[in-house]
Amino acid sequence: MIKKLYILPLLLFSILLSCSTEPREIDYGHENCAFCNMTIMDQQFGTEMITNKGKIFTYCSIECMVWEYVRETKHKKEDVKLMLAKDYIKPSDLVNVEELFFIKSVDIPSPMGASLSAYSSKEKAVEILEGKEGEMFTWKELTQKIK
Amino acid sequence: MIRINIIFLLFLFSMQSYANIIVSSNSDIKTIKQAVEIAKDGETILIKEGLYEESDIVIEKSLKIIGEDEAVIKAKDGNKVFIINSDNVLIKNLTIKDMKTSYIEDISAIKINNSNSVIIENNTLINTFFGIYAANCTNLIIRDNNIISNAVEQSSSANGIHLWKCKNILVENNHVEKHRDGIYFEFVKNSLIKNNYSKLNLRYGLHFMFSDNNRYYKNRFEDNGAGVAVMYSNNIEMIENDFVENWGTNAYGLLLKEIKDSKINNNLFKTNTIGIFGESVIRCQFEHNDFMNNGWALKFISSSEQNNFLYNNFIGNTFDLATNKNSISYNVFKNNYWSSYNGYDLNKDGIGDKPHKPVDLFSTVISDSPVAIILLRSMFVDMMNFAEKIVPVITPAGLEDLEPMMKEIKHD
Repeated sequence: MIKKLYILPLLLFSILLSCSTEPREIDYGHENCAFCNMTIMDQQFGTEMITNKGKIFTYCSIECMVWEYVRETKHKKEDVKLMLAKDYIKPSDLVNVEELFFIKSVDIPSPMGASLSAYSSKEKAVEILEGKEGEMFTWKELTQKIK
Repeated sequence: MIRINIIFLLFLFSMQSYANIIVSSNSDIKTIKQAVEIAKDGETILIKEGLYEESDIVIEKSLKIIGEDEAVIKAKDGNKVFIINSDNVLIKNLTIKDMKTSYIEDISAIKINNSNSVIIENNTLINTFFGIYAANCTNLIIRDNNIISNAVEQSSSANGIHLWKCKNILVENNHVEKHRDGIYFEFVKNSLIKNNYSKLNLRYGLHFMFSDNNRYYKNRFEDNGAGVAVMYSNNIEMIENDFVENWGTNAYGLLLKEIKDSKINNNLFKTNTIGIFGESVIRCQFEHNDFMNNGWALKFISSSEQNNFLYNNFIGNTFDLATNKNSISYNVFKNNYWSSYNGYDLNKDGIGDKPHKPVDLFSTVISDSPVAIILLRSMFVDMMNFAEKIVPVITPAGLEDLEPMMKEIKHD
């Protein structure tokens, strides 16, 4: 009987492991943006930041997350594990920002006035940009451009 | 005498030929679209009573479009109805209804692009996505409209009156209900919002973003998802508005974020979870407001500086003031009436002889750990607050009203 107690630490360990840092869906209409405090409403623009400690911060827009990330207002850049944003055309899943293409165009207004939207396919982004004023960026370029 | 008669006759004549084009189901011109196409610059179109199923009516000239009573436009396939691309347009007395929702397109009952001097008056917009949407416009008047949607969830909602990059706008006497934001201003300057009634909107009754030099007064904002938000704007005057019944974990009567040099005077904040939530509020005036029966009357977090709180009434709030920092600096509280004040007035000049500290210990505790609210009204908390009052240790020093009023202040 006593021998079986070795299961306990194993169980505990597995429970600890299950405290994952998986992304979660944003609770639209109820959560507030961690940067600007506005209630998050637009499905196409919601973004999420996950820190190394597993804490999740949600934002109303791409610009709010970039501002917080670049200015390091709440946490240092190296403490951020993962950042996710929504595809403007297919806003069902959260996508890693490294895999997204960003458009800054006054013709596509975004919640905090920076006119930023994200696309998982480069072709689609080019297509959307056609006939509009604006530029396309990768995530890295975006963080360098926005201060 | 004859001349006066002639003028009178001319006047009568002009009344009769009031409309240049009449749209009706039993005349030659059966659709509004057709009427708009054949109308000349400056003409008037009268729409007789009846149900018109139309969409995408593009107006490229100066026109007056006026509906008779019971002239109803049902959006064909739920598409946008009026698109105004020209100056000097009037749209009056129409009912527009039944729009579909969309992620990508800004479907709106009345869309106004790059126009000057447009009047939207006395219309009823029912079940619209966006009600009135104006971009890059100047000198608009949006008056006496009833804009009622049926938004129940955030994905199928848009704003009642949505203004983007506009200047010199008057929004007056409108009733906006059940949208995402009732009235939404982004990059709007020198505008006036007056006498509107905004209620049951999913997010905010009124939402300001990056909009400087605007005034809003005598509006009523009731039971909206999160109250009213004024963000990233300077020189805003908010006067004689009612902020009522905004309840919820993230709800406020008024949310102020990055606001400078503004006036918040003579407003009523009643039964809200938080009366005013402020973050980075700088050089603002809060005078003659009534805060009644709110959870928190004021909640100001760091970096709010140089604000003046004078002659306000704080009556029956669970907490009068909360802040997350040890001191919110250079803010002045003076001559307010606090129903929680328990001092005395020996020289009978109407001003309490000892200062009032609006931040009690328990509200400081709650700011750090919100779950502690469960202990509210317990004897233990009362004891802690009392002890703190006598020997202040945790509550911010210097945050006090040196001259609290003994009686409720009557505002002029």
